[in-house]
Amino acid sequence: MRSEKRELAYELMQPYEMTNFKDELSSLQERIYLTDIHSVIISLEQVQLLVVDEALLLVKAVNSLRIMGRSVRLTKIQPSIALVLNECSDCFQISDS
Amino acid sequence: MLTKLILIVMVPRKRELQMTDIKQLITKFEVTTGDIKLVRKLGDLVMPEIDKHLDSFYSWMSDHPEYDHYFANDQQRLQRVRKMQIAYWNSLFNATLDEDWYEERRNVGEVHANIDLPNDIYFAGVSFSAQSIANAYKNKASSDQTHDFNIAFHKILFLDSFIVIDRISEIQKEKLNASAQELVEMSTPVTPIYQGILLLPLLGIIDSGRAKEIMQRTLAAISKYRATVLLLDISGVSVMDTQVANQLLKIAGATKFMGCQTMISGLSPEIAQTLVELGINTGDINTKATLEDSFQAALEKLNLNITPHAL
Repeated sequence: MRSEKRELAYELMQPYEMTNFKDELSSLQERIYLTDIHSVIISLEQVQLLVVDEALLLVKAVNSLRIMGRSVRLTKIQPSIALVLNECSDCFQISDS
Repeated sequence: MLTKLILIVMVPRKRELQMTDIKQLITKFEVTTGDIKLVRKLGDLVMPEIDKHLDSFYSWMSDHPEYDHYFANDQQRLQRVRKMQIAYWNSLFNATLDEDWYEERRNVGEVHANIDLPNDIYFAGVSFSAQSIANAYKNKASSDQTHDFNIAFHKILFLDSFIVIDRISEIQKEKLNASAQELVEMSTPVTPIYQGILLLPLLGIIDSGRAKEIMQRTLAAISKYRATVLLLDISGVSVMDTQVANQLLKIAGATKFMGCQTMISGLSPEIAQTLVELGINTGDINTKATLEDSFQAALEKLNLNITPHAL
């Protein structure tokens, strides 16, 4: 009965412009919605710097994916990024890096 | 006993309201007692020749496709309608603008609505008859009198035609409302798919009116089927505004009070983003990626499992 749940490993690049970053996160959500991906692991290894607005976008994208019934984990988060993300959301869950 | 009492109270109130409506209409169309007297006088001139007017009316109507549609090969119907028209003109020239007259006009509207008589042929027919009658009394009265006759006759004719058209419009609205209601019923297919599990797949556009309807029907179905899990699949929903998204979450909240857990599947990124932007707390609501996931979770909740037949 239960079908195999597909997992996606996604490497987030260092954002350089808000609109592009927003588009990237939107297309990621769209891609997940249109496929049978149930679980996403987003790696932040390449992200060295995240301003508050960008962090908010990321938090919202993750929350949207969770509302869409997907399991989302963030991995390889730099300490400075963890601080910014923590500022954006009290209830934001960060997985082990 | 109680029913009888209610009837006694209700009937006079309805008639009282109707008479008020009639009086208001008469005032609005500026029909005076002088107009009524003039129209009655006009009736004395016109009614003896009404057959002649009706002959010319049917001759005019035979040039229009509606004549064949309604009277082709049916002389009996033609004669019946003709008699009714004589009664109609008699009543118009009698100008007793009371409840019976009002009801008669509404009945005419009802008949026209039921036979789907187009409004254009109805108004064209009224206009033709008015011309035919006006031409006839022009030759029998002085020019001053003709002017007064014209004003009085047209006031009452417009009032009369308005009541007919108003009733047609009412019936059309009733039909539309009934169709809309049927559509709503079809568009909220709450279905029990297994003991304790209800499925509600939603399609199309959801506005706040439909969301409320969904809420009512869903809660009623939960109560009826004693459901403990509701699978709400919205993957077929094309448009949903923020208010409606909120309303759907309210449905999930309300079902919880009835001991039924809602699992929502098929949330699109746009809807999910809307919920996030709104800051709506979705923590208590169980969302799943697909309907299959929801169904699987529902089975687990009910300690059920589907296993294939052993070969």
